[in-house]
Amino acid sequence: MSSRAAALWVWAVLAGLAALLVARARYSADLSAFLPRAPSASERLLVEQLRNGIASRLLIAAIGGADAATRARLSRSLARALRADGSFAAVENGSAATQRRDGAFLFAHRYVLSPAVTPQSFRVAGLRTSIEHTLALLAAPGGVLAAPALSHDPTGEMLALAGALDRSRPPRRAGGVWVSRQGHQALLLLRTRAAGSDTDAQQRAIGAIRTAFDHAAAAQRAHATLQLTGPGVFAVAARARIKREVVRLSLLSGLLILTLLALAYRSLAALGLALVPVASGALAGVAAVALRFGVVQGVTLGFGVTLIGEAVDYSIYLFVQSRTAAAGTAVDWRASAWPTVRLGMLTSVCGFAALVPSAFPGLAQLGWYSLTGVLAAGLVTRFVLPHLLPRRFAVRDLRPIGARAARVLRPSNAARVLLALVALAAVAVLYTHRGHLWNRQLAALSPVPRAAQRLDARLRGALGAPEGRDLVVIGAPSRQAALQGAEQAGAALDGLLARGVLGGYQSPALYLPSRALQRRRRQALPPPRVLRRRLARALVGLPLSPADLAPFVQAVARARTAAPITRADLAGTSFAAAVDGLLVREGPGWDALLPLQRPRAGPIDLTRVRAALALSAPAHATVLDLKRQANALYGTYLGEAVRDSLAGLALIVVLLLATLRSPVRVLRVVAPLALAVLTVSAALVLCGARLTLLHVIGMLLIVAVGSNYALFFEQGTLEPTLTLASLLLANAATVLGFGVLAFSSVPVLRDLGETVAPGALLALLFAALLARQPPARAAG
Amino acid sequence: MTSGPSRKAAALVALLALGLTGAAARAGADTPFARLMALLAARERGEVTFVARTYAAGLTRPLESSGVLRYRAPDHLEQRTLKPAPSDLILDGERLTVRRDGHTRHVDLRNYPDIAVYVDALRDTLAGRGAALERRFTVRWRGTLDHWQLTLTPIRAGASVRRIRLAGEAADIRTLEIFAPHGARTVMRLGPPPAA
Repeated sequence: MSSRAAALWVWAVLAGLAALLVARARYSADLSAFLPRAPSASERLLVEQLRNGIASRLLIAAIGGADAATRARLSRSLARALRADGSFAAVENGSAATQRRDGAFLFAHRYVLSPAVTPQSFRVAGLRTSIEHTLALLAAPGGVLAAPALSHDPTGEMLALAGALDRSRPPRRAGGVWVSRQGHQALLLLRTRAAGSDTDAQQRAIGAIRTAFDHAAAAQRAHATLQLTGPGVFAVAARARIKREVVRLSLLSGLLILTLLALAYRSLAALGLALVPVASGALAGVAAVALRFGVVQGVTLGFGVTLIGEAVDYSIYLFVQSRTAAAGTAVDWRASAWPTVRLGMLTSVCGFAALVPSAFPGLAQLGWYSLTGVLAAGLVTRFVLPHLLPRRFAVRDLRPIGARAARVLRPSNAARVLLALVALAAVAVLYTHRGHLWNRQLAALSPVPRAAQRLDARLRGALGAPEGRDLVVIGAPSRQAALQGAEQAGAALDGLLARGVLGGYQSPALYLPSRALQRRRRQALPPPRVLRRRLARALVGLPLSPADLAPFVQAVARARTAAPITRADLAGTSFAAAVDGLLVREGPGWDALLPLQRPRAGPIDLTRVRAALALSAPAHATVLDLKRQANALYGTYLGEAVRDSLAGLALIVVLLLATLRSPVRVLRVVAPLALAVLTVSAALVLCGARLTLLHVIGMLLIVAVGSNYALFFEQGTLEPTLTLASLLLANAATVLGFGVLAFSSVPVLRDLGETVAPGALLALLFAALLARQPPARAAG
Repeated sequence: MTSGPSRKAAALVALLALGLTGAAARAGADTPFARLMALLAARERGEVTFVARTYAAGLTRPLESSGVLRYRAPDHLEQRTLKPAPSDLILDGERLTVRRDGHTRHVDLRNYPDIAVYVDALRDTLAGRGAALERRFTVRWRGTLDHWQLTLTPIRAGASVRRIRLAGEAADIRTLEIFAPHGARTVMRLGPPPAA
């Protein structure tokens, strides 16, 4: 049979190609499924920060257990090991050595670093004021500890500098290392070289930390524990969790569906053949996504179940309904039922097609995957599967089940009235909850467990590490321009700090002032002859003799002629890492990042920050509230998903109108589906759920799967009892597949499952109850 | 191993009063130092005025400041300097509040080991925590309980406090001297509380 051979050959070649693509595709499970493909300028900053920004690269390690001294030793050996590891750009544990180097750097460069250095502060009056201030400090009990610095730093520049750098709350120290607020854990702050979105590199870095810790703990025979947190840890854990759940749930639902089919068919051959369209669809779907997007999102694979749900239906229709022809050939099915299945398949394709243009890669991939998968499964069922059926192929006769169901699912006026009431009740529920129907938080989709989020917040708070939430970004054409922009923005932020709008901020310019500012500060320093003269006048009546301040005059003279500070001078200090993290190359230019800290009172009033920056910072200063803007972005996607789904629905209606050529018939197909969607939404809301993006996708799937049922009822068939039986079986398979998803711990999978499983069931029920004529009567 | 410093103090006082030194002897409780500590520990609160003179290289005459020291068992210490410029150091547990020039800063004492040496010496002495003092300092005792001098030298190397010397009569501390490197030092004379 040449047409048979041709069909099988085409199928085998395509399946082989698809398998090749699937094997070679790149898979990812990072945040990027939730980030836009073609961002606007401000979205670009947001996405860049979320994917590659400094906050995305920070990991915090917390050493617990054992005693404080052991934890401090472990912190030191872990830091030493990780500094030798190339994966980390910075390893900070608050060690005394780094603190000493920090102090030495600040002292050596105090006159170009201190914001207090101005021409006025080095005139007679300015000198006198600052020296009097220093003497007052010295006079207070305990102030004597500053006495040795008196002759080098009588103007108290180190103190001014400490005040300027103390913009952020420093972490607690004990035993020479950073510790948590309660002191029970030693803390290390690590910055990876790789971006936070590079999950593979993050996984390697995390592995390196764990290995180094295990070695250190073994060497010290310490029973200590290691906790890690940070975006990289979340990404790695999320990927592992999604991978695990996808495999586990797909296996479980596959097993359940196979058991169901085995019970129904009582034929091993049928069971094997039922998998052919499913496997073909899944292969085609993944291959198509790989071809179109380059990268396959892990979440997309998670929706593999959606395909099992729909694709298995096609073979069920074929196998069960093939009994129509007593001879057992499939030709009759192709003529009698295939047009209905084809229409159902096309409605599904229309629904999914609406998602494909979405700017949200997660949605676009899901749409494309489902579209190609359903199409492939349908075509394989029609053109390949019949050729594979053995000559005397027949599954168990399911007519008795259909007949029994038909007696229950009898359409009646009472049922219609009941459904109308259900519809009204659902609308009423949705209307009364309209204010809080939607969950607009991106976190709603986050697979990171609450406990892990709390741990992260606690450790970040203890370290004063950037919360990564509020950020000023200064874009500039050059490194120097970015630093100057950061200085201007810093002046505005200082004002806000004094008024309590901010709790603190960080800036690269605090440690590495722009060359222009360094030059201005150096020019403010008088030459030795002038300084001596001014000091003599400033010290009149004060208990200090000018001769004893010779070291001060020398230090100022050195600072006047010293070369400007560069990044290289920061080597070995903790400021190097800060500057590298806060001053980053961005395309052709540079970005200076100024992470903001909340005041004790509550959140930052960003409108005041924007207003202050607009006045004083001419450079491109953008204030980002990463969390809110990410939520806003998600809100856009949510809106887009609703719009896309409605567009999909409209496409389906147009398709049905074009095929059925009767608005009344179209209404009869659409009504039970709309009713199912309404009822499920209302039930979810009543159960306390706030609807997310995935619930919307679930509703689209209810329509896509349910349209098959509604079409069969609307079109009527030669064998209504058998048709009903096949629909019941197909429905049970769908409900099982999605029902398993509802128990997932990954929110996106759970939301989808809890929508589609009950929705599909209701779609069948409503379609049966609203059918034009009782199927049983037509059969008799 | 103890249940609150005040109860421990009360127990020590009781032991001393009864002359039952057997149990305490293991900890060397019968030395004059231990007896001084017990006396100090028995006080729940205290308030004294201070006049401090600071001597340092480069100063043609000592700097003078004065104010009030307040202590409340077990962990609260206030140093309110009134002259020449008002400034407050308030310590609660490990939390240090610094008020100066109209600015208030909260810092964790453990992040400032140099200040911590001075503050711990003062606070542990006032609280009569002899064991805590001996953990951090080499303690040298001179004189009698009626007329004593205590020299505390930090055990940790590299501290900018070279040593602290306290002198007093029984439970009244009369002077406190802080020695910094290069000959700099502060001498604090403590007097009766201000007439409020």
